[in-house]
Amino acid sequence: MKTRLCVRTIFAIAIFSLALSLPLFGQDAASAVDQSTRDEVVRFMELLQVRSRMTMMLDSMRVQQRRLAEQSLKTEKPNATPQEIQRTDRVVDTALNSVLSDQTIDQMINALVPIYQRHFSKADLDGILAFYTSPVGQKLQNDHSGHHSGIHASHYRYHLPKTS
Amino acid sequence: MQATTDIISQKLPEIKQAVKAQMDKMTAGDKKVNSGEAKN
Repeated sequence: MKTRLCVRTIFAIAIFSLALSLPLFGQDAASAVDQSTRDEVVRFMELLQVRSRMTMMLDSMRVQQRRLAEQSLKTEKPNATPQEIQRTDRVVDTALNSVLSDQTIDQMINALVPIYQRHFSKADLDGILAFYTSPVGQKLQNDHSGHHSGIHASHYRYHLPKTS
Repeated sequence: MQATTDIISQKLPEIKQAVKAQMDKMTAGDKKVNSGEAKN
């Protein structure tokens, strides 16, 4: 009798636990369905021109490092010759080439994929991709890249309130 | 796009270190040449 009661209790606990965990199973299934794929994230990064932005950032880093090295040279040698400055630039380029290979941007993009996958669901990316492939999205994208739009504040006359 | 900037920023210390190492190498080479010239 005692054994039967014990089995019944265990069975009831098991059923109760299973019932409690069912919504969690459902949640996992829902988030798996809404999980963005690698291809969707890659498409998103292509539309946002992540690769060319990264290249631009790394290029500006290269320019900045050259400038710093030249400044350092001129501090040590105020009369540095153009040849010495060129040599310093070459040294900086050698250093950067040793750190930044052709694969660097691919590695960075690969590292970004899971980050964006965690941040954007499939539905989010569908919305973003729909917007960026629309004419207005393309226009915004071109404005952001700044090459073709010609929208620069310096092109327009505007007046800022004087702060005095 | 913050993630893109962050991931590039993570590379900056490595870049700085590489530039410093190459610059130090160049300076050490120059010093060696200069001391050789002074001896002669």
